[in-house]
Amino acid sequence: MEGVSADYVIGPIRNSLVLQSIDLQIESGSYSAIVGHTGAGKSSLLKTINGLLLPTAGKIEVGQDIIKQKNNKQALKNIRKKVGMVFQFPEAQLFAETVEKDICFGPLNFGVPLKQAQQIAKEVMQLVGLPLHLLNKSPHSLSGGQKRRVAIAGILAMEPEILVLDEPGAGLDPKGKNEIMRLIKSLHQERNLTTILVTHDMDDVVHYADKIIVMENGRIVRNGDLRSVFSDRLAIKKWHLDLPEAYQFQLEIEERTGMELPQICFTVDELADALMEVGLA
Amino acid sequence: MAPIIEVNNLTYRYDLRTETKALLSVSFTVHRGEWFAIIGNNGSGKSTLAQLLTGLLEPQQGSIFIADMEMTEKSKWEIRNRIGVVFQNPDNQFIGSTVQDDVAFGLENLNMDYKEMKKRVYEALKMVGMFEYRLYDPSHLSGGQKQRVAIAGALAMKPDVLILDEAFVMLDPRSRRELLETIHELKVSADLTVVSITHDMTEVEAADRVVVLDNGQVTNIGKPREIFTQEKELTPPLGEKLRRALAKRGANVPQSYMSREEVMCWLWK
Amino acid sequence: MNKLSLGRYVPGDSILHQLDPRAKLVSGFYFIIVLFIANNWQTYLLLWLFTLGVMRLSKVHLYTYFRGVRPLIWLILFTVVLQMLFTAGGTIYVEWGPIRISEFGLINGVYIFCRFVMIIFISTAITLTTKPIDLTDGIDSLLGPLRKLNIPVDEISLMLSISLRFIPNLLDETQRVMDAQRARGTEFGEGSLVQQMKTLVPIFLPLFTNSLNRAEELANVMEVKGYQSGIKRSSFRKLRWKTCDTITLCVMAALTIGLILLRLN
Repeated sequence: MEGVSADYVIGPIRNSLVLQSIDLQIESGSYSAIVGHTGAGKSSLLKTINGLLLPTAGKIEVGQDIIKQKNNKQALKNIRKKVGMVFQFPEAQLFAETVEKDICFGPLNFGVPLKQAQQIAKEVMQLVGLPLHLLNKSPHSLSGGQKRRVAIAGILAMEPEILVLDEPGAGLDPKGKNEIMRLIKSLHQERNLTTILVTHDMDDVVHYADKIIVMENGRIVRNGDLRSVFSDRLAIKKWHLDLPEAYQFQLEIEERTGMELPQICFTVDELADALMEVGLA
Repeated sequence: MAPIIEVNNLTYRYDLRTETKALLSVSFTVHRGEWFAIIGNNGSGKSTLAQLLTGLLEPQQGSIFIADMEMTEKSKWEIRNRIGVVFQNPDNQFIGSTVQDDVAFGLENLNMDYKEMKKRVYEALKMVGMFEYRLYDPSHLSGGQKQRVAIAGALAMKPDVLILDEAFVMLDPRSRRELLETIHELKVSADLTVVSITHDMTEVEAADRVVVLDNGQVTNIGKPREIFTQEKELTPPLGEKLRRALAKRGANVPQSYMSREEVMCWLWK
Repeated sequence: MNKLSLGRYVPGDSILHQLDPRAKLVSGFYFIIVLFIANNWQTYLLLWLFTLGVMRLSKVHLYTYFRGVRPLIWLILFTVVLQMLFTAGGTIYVEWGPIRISEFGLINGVYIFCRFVMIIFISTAITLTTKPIDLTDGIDSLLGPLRKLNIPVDEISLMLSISLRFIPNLLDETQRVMDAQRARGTEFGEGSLVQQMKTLVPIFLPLFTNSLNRAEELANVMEVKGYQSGIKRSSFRKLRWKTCDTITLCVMAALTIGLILLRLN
């Protein structure tokens, strides 16, 4: 990757309706999850990161490019290339007659020559784990999970440095969802993609993300690492958030047995380890 | 217990020229008052089965009996008065321009008189906790609330069977949990048989019996406890997950399926 | 974008909001007819008083009404100018080559202008104060007699009401697809006309496919809920004719009598 040390400052955006004075830095190479009740402003925040929604005040820096209230087109275009955005149910945006053409759509818009775009299409197909012979198929002939992968491939083909995803697993069966979430995690690790995930599912958060950003009423109310945020149970309740299922179970066990486990357990394996450690099992 | 749904040797293929069958001699019986889950991955044939059960497709071979009536082109309208269906997409099944209009839609089709209709609509909305929202239009409701309205629409018809066709798939985990609780209560208070077609394991856990579909065939049928023990590739519920994790670590846990509550008791012993 | 409501209904509790949609529709059409009784300044004055009164009663800001006229202003002015040029009679004020503006022409122009604007104001007052779904119900009820001619009135009004119901969804979806394609580097409103047309393809194709899917799902839902075309259906939405609706019709009758008297003068 080109040496972009992307520290993004989003700050103060004032819009009484959607976002209010948001200050946020996301480090390059991190995996953050944005959570919050419906209508907390999560999707608006995502849109500002991509310049789809312009701030009424304040600015957003993505690497060297800056989004402000008024913008030159080039900066916006640079940012959109840099920030790959996977919307909710992204298969709804597929339109071309073949998978290949759909994947090439993004790169071609950003001025990549056709030959090169087709090469990229092949690479991203492998990256998302789809066989190459699907390239000449119509996207509408594919299964739900495959369509979603094609849509994600179409974003990866723009070779973004930042990947923003809004509920990428929504509506898929458990197997399909796991595969997509693992795919995203491995992209994050192997390609050093800065990843921002919007989700309602706290188990996704603890299984895949490193950082959690909590939003409420258009503001960021907490931004930190998982353990410190989830250990603040009163606040979690106040924000109407759930706990990860293993942690919820841990609390019930602690209450029932009167014993306290040494640490917060986010996964069943952690919980099993802790139970063994204190001798409950 | 008396059977309310009987499916015998049901076979269906979309393209009669090919041999690939969406369903291949599927048989099962659902008893009155039961919560019955139909599970399987994408492509297992469960959506085809759902369409057959609701009369949207016609059986090519085999038969379906619902409330002692065989599903045919003729009888399907009669049968539909006995079943309520909630579909997957909250938006695409909201027909009315307000909550109460939507609930009334099915009753209007019965040419019911206004007084009775109003009574039924209000009752149904109260049962799902949406009475206060009766004048809202759908754009002001969350996905979970829209599904509640859809359930009310089904309840207003006073059905024997409530079919949930992946009804909670598009909802967030919290709405899903809350709706499952509501269905639990309704099953008792409205004397319902629940058939849920799903891939959500919490929904499966809530069921009395489960049928597993794979490649159009029934591969297993039994209580959730049995299914989760036998079908190793299914993600089990939390309690069983923990039991397995503990067993792997050499803990002296029982060797068979345990629910959340059982694990809790075992730990507390 | 999704806050844009068709017919620009403005929620409120004015007398106009409370009227039965049938009363409003009938009065609206009737108003267009009685407009033709007017032929002198006294009758037009009466009509203006009526129109302004109605606008006042709607409790909607006057600015909203003027916005309704704006898109049509060129069409109106064009008609007015034609009317002025081609009506002869009375004193000639301007004579410039073939162009001749006469006294009668000028008066007629003003009258035509008034008619247009009043029609727009009155129909705006109706759409501003009636929910689209109530309008549909009103139309359904008024067209009721056509059932005897085998015209599928119920189907048409159900179709209308479902379309109205899904407009916000369609707008939402358009916005979403547009955002998604912009995020993939599409620029709207740039380049030549052909290029601009091309950028619309990635918007309309997905919208089209999604709408087809939606329609199919909707059809399934309706069928499972027992809807068959041609069956006798009852209606949960009830229009209730109230005293104020009868009064409205009386007002319209009074207006007619007033106009006739002023015209005879």
